[in-house]
Amino acid sequence: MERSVSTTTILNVFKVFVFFQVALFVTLTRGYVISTSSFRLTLFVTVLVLTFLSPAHAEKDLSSFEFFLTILTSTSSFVISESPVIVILILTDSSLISNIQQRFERFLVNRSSSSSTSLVTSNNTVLSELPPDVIYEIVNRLHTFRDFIAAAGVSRTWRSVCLSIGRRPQLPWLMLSETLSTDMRHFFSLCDNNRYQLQLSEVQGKRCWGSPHGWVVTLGPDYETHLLHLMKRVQIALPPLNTIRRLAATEEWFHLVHKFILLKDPSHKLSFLVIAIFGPVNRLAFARVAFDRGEGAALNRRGQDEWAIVTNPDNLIFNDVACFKDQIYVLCDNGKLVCLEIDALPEAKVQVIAPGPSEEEIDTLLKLYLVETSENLFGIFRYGDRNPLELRHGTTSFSVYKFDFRASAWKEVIDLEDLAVFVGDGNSWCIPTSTILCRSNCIYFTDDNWEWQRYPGVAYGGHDVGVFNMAQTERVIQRLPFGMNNPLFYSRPIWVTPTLR
Amino acid sequence: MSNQSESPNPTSSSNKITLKTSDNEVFEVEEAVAMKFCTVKQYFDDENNNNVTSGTSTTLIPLPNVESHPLAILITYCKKHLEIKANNADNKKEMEIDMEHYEREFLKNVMPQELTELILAANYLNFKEALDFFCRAVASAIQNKSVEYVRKFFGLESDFKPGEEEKLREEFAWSFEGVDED
Repeated sequence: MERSVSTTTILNVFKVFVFFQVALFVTLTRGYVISTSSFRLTLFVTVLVLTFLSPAHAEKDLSSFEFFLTILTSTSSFVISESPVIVILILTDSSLISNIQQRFERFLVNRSSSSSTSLVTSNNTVLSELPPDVIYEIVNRLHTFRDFIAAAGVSRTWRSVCLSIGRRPQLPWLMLSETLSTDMRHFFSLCDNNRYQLQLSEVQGKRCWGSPHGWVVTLGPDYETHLLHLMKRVQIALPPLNTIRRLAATEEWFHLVHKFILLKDPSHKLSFLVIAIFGPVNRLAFARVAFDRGEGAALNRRGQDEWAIVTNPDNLIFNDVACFKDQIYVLCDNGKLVCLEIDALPEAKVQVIAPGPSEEEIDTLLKLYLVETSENLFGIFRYGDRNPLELRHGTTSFSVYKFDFRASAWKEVIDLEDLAVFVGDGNSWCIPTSTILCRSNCIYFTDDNWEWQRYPGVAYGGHDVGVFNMAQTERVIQRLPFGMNNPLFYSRPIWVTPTLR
Repeated sequence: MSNQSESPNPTSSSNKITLKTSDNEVFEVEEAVAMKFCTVKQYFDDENNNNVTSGTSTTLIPLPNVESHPLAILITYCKKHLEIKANNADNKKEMEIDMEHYEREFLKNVMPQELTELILAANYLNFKEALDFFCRAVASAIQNKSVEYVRKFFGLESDFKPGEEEKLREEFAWSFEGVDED
């Protein structure tokens, strides 16, 4: 009897459920919104009916625990089965939504108020847009040229900052010697040990000299010389070499000029001054390259459209040229330092200002270089073995002298501190390594000993590439494996710093 | 370098300077620390020149372009910087090693995006060592990354005209190979 009562109660409960579901369905399909409060009330009543009506009848044959379990499962199953509906109800509950919305808005206001002050400084600049001077500091600390290019592509501001930088502290690339039957040229970046390939048909079959200005000087078998910008691939023809060839008539094309040095013209900053050391007795000539052929360059200046030869009454043997504090200096045999006045009247003249550090001839001396920083002028002496019988050579050590302008004399230095020096075919230069990732206190060199090339059929050279560590405890040479399998008599690895402009 | 960097121990100078940030927070710092911020030093010197009579300075220096968050970090960095300097007064190499070690640890606790904020604060305060350090940190964070990554890093959008960017890409095609995209 009692059992039938309890079953009828459960049946009744199910009826209520079914009714409730139908009601829900009807209201939802009609698009009415049932507020959660009414829903909660319905649920509450259902549970109330179950717990307070049924147990009175169920006491006798169903244990209260079992009954409680039945109620629990039925309610939870109800909740679970209706969960989407509940979610819908919560979402459509306008009072609840408005509550959430208020909280969300308050959260947003808090967020933006804290970030708006950080986004906008008092002079109304957006935080993420760094001022150009800060961008300058950042890009000057980028190690590789590739990173520098990426920075130049970020935005207009970044690009203009990058373009405003002429020479930045950056390790040069090693332009490797030509490989036959291709116009692709390989470059080795010391900084990230990467190799890059550039298509450079302009340098094919020519001898090249490097510089830290992004330009290389080329000389072809047709005796034509050009300036070539590596990145922009702009070519500028240099004056014909007639005057130079007249003084060195017997030299073969690749042996005519020993060294081309590219300097910013001290008297006209927008022009380049190209200096050539040429011929059997290392004579000096120069030419001017103006980038703006406008009103400023209208004056006909010495070396404008010709190679002007520097007269040399004392028969000095010129080795290297540098521009220090707007004055051009030339390093001669055994380290004699001379001053070059290219615009002197009636003609360009040289004047000896100091003798070399030692008067005696050192037969292991291979080459001499002149390197400037903003404060100092350095003379770099390269020593090595020379074997005339086998026509072989190799660098063994370097010594460095600093010019003391007050005493007008060279003083040996044993430490280059934070400098890294680059010497070889082309300009000799150094970079401060304080802001970039680079070995300091060392000399990077390429092979620029061409004396065996005077002998017919000799194509030896280009292999003498490496780094000399100046640190007192070491003072050793680390060879770099470039130019080893060099079969070409005119092409050797050179240092060149790529630049954007 | 300011004159204050010579003082052996930053805590020995008892003078305190109060800095007020743009979000109205007040920081009381040692004079030695504050003097590393050249902007503050300039302001402080000007103030002192203007009223020589007031002996004990109770100046409150407003920093309208700096928020409390970066300033707090800069002060911590500055204190440590002075401390390392004082500990290795006679050994430059040792100091550099200690500083490098500290800077490495420091960067572990700084979100990359915070760096921009720190750079701007250091730039405004004209705190040279910090600016150098943060610029180095940023430079190494964008090392070997794509243009897009650098833009995202600084929250920038390209403002090049259509075609301009493609031209750049074409010109420097070699440089777009093998960069880390993330």
